[in-house]
Amino acid sequence: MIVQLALFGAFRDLHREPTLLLEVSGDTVSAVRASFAAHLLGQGHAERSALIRASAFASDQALLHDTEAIPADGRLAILPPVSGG
Amino acid sequence: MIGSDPIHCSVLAIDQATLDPAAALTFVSDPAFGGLDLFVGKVRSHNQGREVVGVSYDIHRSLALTVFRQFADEVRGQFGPRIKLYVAHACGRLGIGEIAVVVAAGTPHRDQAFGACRALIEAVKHRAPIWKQEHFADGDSAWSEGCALCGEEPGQKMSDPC
Repeated sequence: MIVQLALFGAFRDLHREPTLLLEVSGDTVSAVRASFAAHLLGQGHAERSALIRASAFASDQALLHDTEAIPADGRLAILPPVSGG
Repeated sequence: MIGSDPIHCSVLAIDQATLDPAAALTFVSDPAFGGLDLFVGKVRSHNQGREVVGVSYDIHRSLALTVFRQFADEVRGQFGPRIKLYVAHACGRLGIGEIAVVVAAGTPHRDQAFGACRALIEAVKHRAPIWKQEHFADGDSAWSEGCALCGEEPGQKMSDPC
């Protein structure tokens, strides 16, 4: 399936647009994580693999664990470690 | 006389509005409250030995507003129910000395006000979907490393503070 992945923080530097359309093989958040890691690897950003592992995923309203299903609307965000305030 | 909604949460685009500590104090004031505590976070001119000229804040707005209210509900459960809470965070590029975040708490007595304000700002700093990119005097910019919300490792909790 195709997911629309919103990028925040350091991930914004890796893509021209704030969202990325990503082909995902699977229906869980872990599949999105794996697909995004493969995408960045293909783009020459292997150095970001640790950041992907440390990142969370979320819908517009809640954090999503890796075992959870991709939201029905196919939209989610990747959240690198946070640093507000 | 606590109003219908004793919690204020907002994310303000810096090019459209500025954060207002006076508004926060007004919001958390109440005739029954003798203690008000206010935290104002500003952009400082240095970090880890480097001169900083500005900071850009990136925010997942809808999720931030949701978790701000969750944090406030947690604080209310710990220090309330007689409490008013205010949290506002700026989004966009700020210069040195500009206000990035305002948190305030109003309660009958000072102990709860201090505790509630501290708990709320700590939650915002460590658990809200907000990212800080510092801009340095030498022209370099860097995203702060921050606190992981939850990674792929089994057993990690979403609310673990870093």
